[in-house]
Amino acid sequence: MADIDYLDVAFSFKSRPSDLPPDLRPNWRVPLLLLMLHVCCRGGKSTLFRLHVLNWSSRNQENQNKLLANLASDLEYSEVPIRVEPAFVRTIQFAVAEGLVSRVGGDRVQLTDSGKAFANQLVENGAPLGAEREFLRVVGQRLTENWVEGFSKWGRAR
Amino acid sequence: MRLRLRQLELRALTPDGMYGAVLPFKAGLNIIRAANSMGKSTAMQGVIYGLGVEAILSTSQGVPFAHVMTHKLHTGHGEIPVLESSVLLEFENEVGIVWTAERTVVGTRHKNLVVLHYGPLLTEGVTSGKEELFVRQPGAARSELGYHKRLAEFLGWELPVVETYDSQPVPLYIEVIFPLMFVEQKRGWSDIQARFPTQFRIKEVAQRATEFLLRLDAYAISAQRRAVQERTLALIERWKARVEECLSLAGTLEAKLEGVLNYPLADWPPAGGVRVLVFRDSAWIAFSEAQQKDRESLEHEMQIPLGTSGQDDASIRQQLEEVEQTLVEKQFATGRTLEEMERYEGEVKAVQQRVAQIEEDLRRNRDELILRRLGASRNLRIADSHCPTCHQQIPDNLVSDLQAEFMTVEDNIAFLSEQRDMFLAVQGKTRREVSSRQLELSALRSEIERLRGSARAMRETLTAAHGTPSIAQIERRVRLQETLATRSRLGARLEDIIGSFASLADEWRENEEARASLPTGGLSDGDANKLDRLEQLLRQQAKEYGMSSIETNALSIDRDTYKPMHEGFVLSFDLSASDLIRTIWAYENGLLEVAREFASNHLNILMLDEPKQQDAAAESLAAFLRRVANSKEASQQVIVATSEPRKSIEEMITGLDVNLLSFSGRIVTKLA
Repeated sequence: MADIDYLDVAFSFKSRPSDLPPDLRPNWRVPLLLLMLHVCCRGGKSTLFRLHVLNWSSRNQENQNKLLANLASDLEYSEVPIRVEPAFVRTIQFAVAEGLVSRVGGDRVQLTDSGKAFANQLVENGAPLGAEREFLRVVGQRLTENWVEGFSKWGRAR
Repeated sequence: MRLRLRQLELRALTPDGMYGAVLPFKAGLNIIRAANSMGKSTAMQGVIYGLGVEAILSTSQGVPFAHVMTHKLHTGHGEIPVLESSVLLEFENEVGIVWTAERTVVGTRHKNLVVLHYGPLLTEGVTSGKEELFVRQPGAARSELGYHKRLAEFLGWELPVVETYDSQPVPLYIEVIFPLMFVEQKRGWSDIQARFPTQFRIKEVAQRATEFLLRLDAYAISAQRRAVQERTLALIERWKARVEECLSLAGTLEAKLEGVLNYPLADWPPAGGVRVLVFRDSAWIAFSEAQQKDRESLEHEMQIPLGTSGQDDASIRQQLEEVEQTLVEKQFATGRTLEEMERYEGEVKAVQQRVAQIEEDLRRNRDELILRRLGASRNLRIADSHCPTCHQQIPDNLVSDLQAEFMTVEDNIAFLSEQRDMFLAVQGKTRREVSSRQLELSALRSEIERLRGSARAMRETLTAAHGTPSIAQIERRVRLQETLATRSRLGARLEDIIGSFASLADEWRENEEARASLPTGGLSDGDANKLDRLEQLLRQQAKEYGMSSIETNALSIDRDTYKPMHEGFVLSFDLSASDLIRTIWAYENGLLEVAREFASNHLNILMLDEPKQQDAAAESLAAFLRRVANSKEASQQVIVATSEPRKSIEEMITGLDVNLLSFSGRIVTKLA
């Protein structure tokens, strides 16, 4: 006998699917990776480290602004947002398995021909990922491997 | 609609005299047969050149011909230079009018000029006049002297206006429609709908051309939908402007409006009616009621005889005290209202941020839907939630270590939209709280102003020389009279504007009804029938032509792109080379056959340059020729150029009614 009568009824739980941020969907993230390589990396080729910098800084407006401010001035590197995101690692694995991106050496990846073809379709006007593409265009090829290396040295020196 | 070719003539003047070719065409199946590099493609190009649609061959402005028409031609004894050359094409339209187009390839006349002879110049030698028109230059499709404008009229085509990538309106150029009726040799067989000219920068050119060719309502529907949408936006703008006007008038009256929404309504007045409220003595009352009260107090005031200074000092002093007391209260209330307003403003800002975040997520989710479709068209395994390595079903997320179950993207969009709507509702309510506080504040401030005026007048009355008329009383009378007059005027104007929402609401309702009457999904019932039939014909023919690498019943026509698909994917990847050729036959001939049963803009003609290619088996080609030979009964025309050996072709067409133009040597020869 329950103390409160109206609680003394049979009840059941039903699991409901939960909301998922769209940037955790492979079909959204893989094309974004292709855009990063296509727009920001010479020859569609990049170290994984640089991709992680690009990835984390493109995630939201705040991170975007930090990276842009840093590229534009001589701010401390500490302002640069950088995290190694497991979901992004998985994205790269998917892209490699789909044959859109290939591994070059130990720590580099490069767009394949079919990856390039897809990326070309994504830079057309009116294609999806408009805001992300705009950010990557602004970054352009200023985020060089040298810059990223400097950042990494700075990190180790501390 | 019909284009029936009657005769093609190629002419080349050389030092050795006139060379050329004459190809008479008939209704039904026509086969041009010659060995390779003997001039078949030259003949097919001649047709294209005569129609001025060589943009389907290449984007260059050059002449799309082999050496035989431009430089030198082979005779039995060697090569001789071409001095002048031209193409003549005689053709007929739906109602039997015959024109002959003459176009220079090499010569003094500019190659972008077409001489149009009005009459059957080639077959009967009769014309009723001629005219020079231009082609392949800006204006050819729109100018009075443009060949394509004239041709479109002749064919009975009313070309729709479509949009370019720069959102410019352009006519659907004739050149982009022809690839659906003409498969050229070089690239036409590499993919379905391989050769749609892209140099015109028309958005979704293949869809637009197919919609036009099949005369689908889809294009008209999407145009109507755009028009409705534009009207919707315009009406919202007008509605908002009028609401602004109301609010500004109400602001002057220190009144707030209830029942006037910032978004159009189909029924006016709204269910609860429209109310104009003013803040009086710490409560909101109807504007008309406030006016009535003011009128009464003015009457009351006028009835009190005008006193003089010194007459009633004690009572004035008491009144002054009360007024000052009220002043303190009102000032306190002002401070409190100000605080509340700031709190609500903070809430509005917080909700705004939340809404912006949701909008961003929504945009990304919608992008995901498009990206998944793009991925599917590139045969990505992840587009279909399969692992690209092991090909097993995988969860559609990048955090798959978790056991959690996530919504599908579609559900996620619905979920986020709902959330956004809820937050927008909260935001709207909070905004109304803010503006209500603003009005209270301004009412309080003018009340304070008024009380200060009264207090000043009372003090002056107390200190004035004995016997002067009561300044306090006069001040009250003047003030009441003035505010009453101003407010009645503004109040009447406000009533007028509120009344005028009714006609806007009518327009809104009509537009909403127009929107509701548009079919969902963009295709009308008629469109669906045509596409169903096309799909059926595609499957039927694929089987007939011996398609082997896939199950023909799994073929379909995509309802967005109108392209043949296989189990939801574009075909070219799954198919063997020969099956791709079979699909192209089936698709192009399917369009032709659909035109037999349904109203369309098809010209009831189909031209195929070298349909066999190296891959398709002879039995398949025979089956195809048997099928297209039926075109004669439907009063259509099919022209096929092939290099099949004569014997083999003759076997294939035994018992068929075919116009076989077989050449044992070169097609272009010395003319008698």
